[in-house]
Amino acid sequence: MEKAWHGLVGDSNPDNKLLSYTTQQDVVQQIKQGIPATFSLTIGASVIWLFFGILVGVIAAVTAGRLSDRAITILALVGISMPVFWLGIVTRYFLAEKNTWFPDGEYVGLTANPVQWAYHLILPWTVLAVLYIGFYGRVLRNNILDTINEDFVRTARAKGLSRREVLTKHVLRNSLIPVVTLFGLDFAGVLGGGAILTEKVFDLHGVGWYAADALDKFDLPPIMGVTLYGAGFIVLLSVLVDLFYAYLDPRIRPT
Amino acid sequence: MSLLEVQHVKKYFPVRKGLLQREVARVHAVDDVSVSVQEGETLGLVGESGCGKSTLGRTIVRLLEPTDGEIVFEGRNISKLGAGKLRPLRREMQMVFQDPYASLNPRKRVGTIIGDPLEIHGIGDAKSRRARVQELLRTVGLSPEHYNRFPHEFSGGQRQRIGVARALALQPKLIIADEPVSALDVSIQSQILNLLGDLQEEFRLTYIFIAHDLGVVRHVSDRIAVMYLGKLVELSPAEELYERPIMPYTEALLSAVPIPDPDRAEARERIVLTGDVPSPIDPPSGCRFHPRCRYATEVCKQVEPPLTDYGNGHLAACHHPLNVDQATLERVRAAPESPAEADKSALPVDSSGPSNP
Amino acid sequence: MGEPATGTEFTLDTAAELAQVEHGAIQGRSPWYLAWRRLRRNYIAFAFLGLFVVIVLACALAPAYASHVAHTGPNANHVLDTITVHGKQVPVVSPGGLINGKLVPSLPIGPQWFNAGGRYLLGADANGRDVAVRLLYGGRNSLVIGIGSALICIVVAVLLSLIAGYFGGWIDFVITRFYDLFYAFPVILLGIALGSALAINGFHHFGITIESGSIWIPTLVISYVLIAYVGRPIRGQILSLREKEFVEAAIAQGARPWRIMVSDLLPNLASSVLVFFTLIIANNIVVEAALSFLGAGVQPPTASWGTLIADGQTLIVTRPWLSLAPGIAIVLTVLSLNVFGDGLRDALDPRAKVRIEH
Repeated sequence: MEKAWHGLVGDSNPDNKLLSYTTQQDVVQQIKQGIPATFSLTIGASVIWLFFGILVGVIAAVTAGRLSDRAITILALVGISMPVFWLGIVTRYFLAEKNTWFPDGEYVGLTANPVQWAYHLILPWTVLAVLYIGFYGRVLRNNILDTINEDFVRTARAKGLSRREVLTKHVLRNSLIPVVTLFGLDFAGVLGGGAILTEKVFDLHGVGWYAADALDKFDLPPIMGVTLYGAGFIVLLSVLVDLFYAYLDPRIRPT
Repeated sequence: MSLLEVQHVKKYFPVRKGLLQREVARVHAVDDVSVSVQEGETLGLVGESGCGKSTLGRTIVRLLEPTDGEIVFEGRNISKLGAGKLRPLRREMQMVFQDPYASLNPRKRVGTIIGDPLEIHGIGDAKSRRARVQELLRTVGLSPEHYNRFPHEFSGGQRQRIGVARALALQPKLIIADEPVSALDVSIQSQILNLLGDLQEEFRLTYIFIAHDLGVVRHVSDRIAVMYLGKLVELSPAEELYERPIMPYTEALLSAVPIPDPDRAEARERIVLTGDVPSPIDPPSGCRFHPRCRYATEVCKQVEPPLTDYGNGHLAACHHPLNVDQATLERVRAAPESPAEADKSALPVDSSGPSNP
Repeated sequence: MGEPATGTEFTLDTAAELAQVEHGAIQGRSPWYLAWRRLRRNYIAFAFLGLFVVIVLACALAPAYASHVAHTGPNANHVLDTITVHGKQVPVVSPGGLINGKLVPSLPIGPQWFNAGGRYLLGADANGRDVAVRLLYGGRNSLVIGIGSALICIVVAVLLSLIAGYFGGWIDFVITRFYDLFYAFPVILLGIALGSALAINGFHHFGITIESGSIWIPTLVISYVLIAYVGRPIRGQILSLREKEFVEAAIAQGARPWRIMVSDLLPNLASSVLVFFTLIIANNIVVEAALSFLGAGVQPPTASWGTLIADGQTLIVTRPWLSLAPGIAIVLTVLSLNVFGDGLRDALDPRAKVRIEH
């Protein structure tokens, strides 16, 4: 590890810092500067995708086989099939350039102007969330339909609980367990620079944008730095997911 | 010479934990079992689920590696043979499995399933193999026309017939049947049992017949071995076992066999074993059955009873043998390694125990 | 694993089968045939399969379109050329400069549809290249990379997982840790890290030489990055198959490990591998587009749907079709594969769960 770090940093570098080839800036410092934008994007988008993902999944499962279920299924597939960067370009063109209803890219700090912060992030949040809404909706729908056929659900109905109670207390709680795992890993991935495409398209100067910008100049150290930063987040979040999982599902206890 | 000698075979499964997969404990699935099987006989192997009977069966055909002990087949020790040297011996012993659904590959045609062993051992050409498979189908009571069908197109009983045909394909000497009828409807069970019996006569087969209750094995077995928590606790000719069980555990198992005559059933004392089967990870000291045994005394907790010959080929491991007369007990006690010997070295003999009913 | 129509569940198929038995049919119905019969009733899946086939055929016919309709190649520049539209000479790229005292940027012509005899159907890009031609050629590259990387990825993942799942023990330990390593990185970041490093120098190791502009680089990078995502669920399936008694039966018969893998395990995996394959192609086309869009995939001037979107981005306000067209092509292709893959899964293997990553 030590040796690999030296290989990456270069021998001529006395401070042992990872420097960009083109700008000679400290990569770690630059990544830190990108964190506010990346966190704002990720947290906002994840709230949207979790809320709508669960909503859509529950509606589809409850109305399984009916028109709303089919419509949701088709829309979810379309959402999954759309490359996020292309969706970003298209929405930016139609909503921010052709019609100037929304600001055209750029990130405004939360502390500088909270209203502008949210206004500037609405499009990126939505675009980033679309894929995950489609995906979570499908997963949750299938999970709910699987769980509904389990014996313990039938028992809960038989002992006199109402349909709504069974759905919220028994079915949803159990169906959400896999969604929690997915969410933890996706959240970590996006936080760790996985939103590189959205950041690039909307000119949000976050961690991912930094990597994309470096990529245009074939400047390798920032790319390596961001990749390692992303790996750190994913490892951290997987541990948290495992712990939360144990809390949700008493059958699993960390050993 | 016996066809198969199992000598002091042990099979422990490691329990691993943690990141480094450290071995923290061992499951004593089979713990020092010795038994021999004569050519042409059927040995019933009985015990509750988890007692290690299936593990013993799988260890004998070397699907599992024995932890210790020897498996001597036709005078040859096969317990340490590598996969290559074992391959020709696989022809001699085959297995019939419990689950008629999981034991047949759903993607293969029946003809391929039964013909595979022939192909693996390079027996005959495609044409002669096909003829042989069709003959086998007829032998087990299926139609040769079923050759091109798939397992999902058959009922459970028919599938088990396919499993039997597959085991027969290599003309083995020994067949280990691992609860071959326990997954089948009662009405189908006797058909399969009769088939196995007919085949034994026709092909001079030797069976090890594994079952979890004594009811099924009675009709097919010449001798019956009873296992409890990895140990062989009683071995006896079949009829003798049903008439004079020596080990209290066997007595309890026998009392669970349904009797069709209501008067006799009424007269019988129903022994209900209390408590759960202890964990094979940490088996009880002394006699493993003592926590659940109604005759248990202090000695049972501390000294493991050896497997003792009570004459007539009837062996049992118990400090308080049932159904044994005074003379036999005297004779047995005089012999070395008897339960009494063990008793003497440990605690005073409880002579008023249930050994003389 | 899909064990269709076992004795415990009575389905319409079983009913049909029973009727068949009564009529004395001898030929067995293979699980594949039963799946085909279920798939055949799924018209939506078939419609989308048709759409995919049409897209593949159109892209395969790219050279014919280029030489007979558009009369240009995918990388041929026509900055200074003119074409005839309704009898008028129009420059392919109108020169910019000071016109009437205003600075006008140079602008390529927009979609001509069929006004120019099929030339510049979707307009030209900044270099005067025919976008329709580049769209078809780019589609060829995107499809080749998508299908090729899916193929390599599946083959390697199945092989590794078979070995891991069959032998278990330390072999399994090593392979699963190898898989875990991939899960620690965001797919796109790992892809651009590898893709950009290889895009600069090409690959010159182990006696294999791949030049830096080759589409082999994105193909291999994408297949490599996704191995774990395909391998891990497949290993899980193998572990459960490995416990089945028919595998024990094969061992007891004396079958060698490779024979058990090929003749017992693989056929039972085939249906989920097929589903995976369909969905992974879809996924890889999107990953390719993303990598190329960022500059770590297909390198200019070679066209791919991802590079076309990136190229068009600079002219998005004046010539939106440059970016819209390749994006729509991706959406249609990926959607058709996803819908068909879904139908395939329902027919073959209702329990397989496949994750889309991008």
